Amino acid sequence: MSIVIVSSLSYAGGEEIAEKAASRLGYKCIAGEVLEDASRTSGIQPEKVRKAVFEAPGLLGGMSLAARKRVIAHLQAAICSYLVDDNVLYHGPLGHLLVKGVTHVLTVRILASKEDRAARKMKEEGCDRREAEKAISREDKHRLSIARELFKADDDKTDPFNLVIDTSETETDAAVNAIAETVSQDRYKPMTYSIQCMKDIELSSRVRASLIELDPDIAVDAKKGDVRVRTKVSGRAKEKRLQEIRRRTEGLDGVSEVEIEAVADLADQLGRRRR
Amino acid sequence: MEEKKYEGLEVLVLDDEPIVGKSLKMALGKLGLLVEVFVDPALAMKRIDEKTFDVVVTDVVMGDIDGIQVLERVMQRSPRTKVIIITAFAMMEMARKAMERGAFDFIAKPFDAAEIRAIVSKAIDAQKESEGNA
Repeated sequence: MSIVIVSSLSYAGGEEIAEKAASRLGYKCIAGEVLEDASRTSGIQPEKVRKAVFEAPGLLGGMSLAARKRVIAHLQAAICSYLVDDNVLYHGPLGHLLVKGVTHVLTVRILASKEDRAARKMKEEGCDRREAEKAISREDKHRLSIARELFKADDDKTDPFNLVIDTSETETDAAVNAIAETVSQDRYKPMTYSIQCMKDIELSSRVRASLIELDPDIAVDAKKGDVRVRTKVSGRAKEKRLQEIRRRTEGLDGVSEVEIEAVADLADQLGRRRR
Repeated sequence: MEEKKYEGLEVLVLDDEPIVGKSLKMALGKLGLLVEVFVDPALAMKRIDEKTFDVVVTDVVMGDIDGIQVLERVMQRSPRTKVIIITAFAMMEMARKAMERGAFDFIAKPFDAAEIRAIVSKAIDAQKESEGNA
């Protein structure tokens, strides 16, 4: 069976639609548990994981970019661990950015007008309109910046989505019907090619999460168990890094071969020359 | 034991690379299947018009006639036939198009003999099940 990924703008009513669609389809609905899983595997407190994903960093203090990348890497691995299964509806951040090439996934964007989103936030949280609008703008800006910086994607665009639902124009039941009808089309049927794509993405994400502490920009590409790792490292640290990558990856479930490419860390070399 | 499980069932294999057809004939022959191999899509289309196969395994990119056209012809002639698309150029839209037009499965090259045997077995089992239910 297929997978549905619902990416909703905040306060656009996505949660209710996602839950009802999962129930209608008989799919397992996955949402907040990915944050808990990412917290457990990264050793970062759940509140910090939530902040890294949903809140824009403040001018002073807050989480470093490297720590944020670490959180996101663990979150990616957590999301993918659910998406390799059948009959799953995931509602939450990043999911739609992770499933490139996977044809049995229906990606849905839920949006609403700024006014309606602000009204929903005011009702749920008892804040005034100005406060609600400001918070929504901040959240949108942060969501766009995560997509741009970590996934090189423009999350403002709706064309990468298979289905776009505007809740200012569409009732909840009609939105649920649209999701259920679309995902039952033959074009979203699982096939060997797309199931393998999803398995490769899951393995890449899991291996990357296990290595992210070593290099926040480490790149991992897995194909049918063959894993390629690309890391920036120079000088005396190189041998130690390569050994550590081997140690961490070779026992991982699903990994058959590991190939490591070490590229010179020019910033590090320059820093050492200056010193 | 999978050996000769599907004795006598017929498969048409179409790929413009002769080595692919040869390998598939060997791999599928182990299931007892009778395999006809084609490298020329026009000749394969002619054969599809003459005869009903249980399974068709076809490449997508082959010059003048592509695998989607082959799939459409098979579906028109014999909707019970299971069509498996194999390709070295797996692309999302092509894969979705193939599934929309009735393909049973879509797989990316390279694959090994055990994988293609498993997929063809699944196709034949699905065919038997749907015919049993009819």
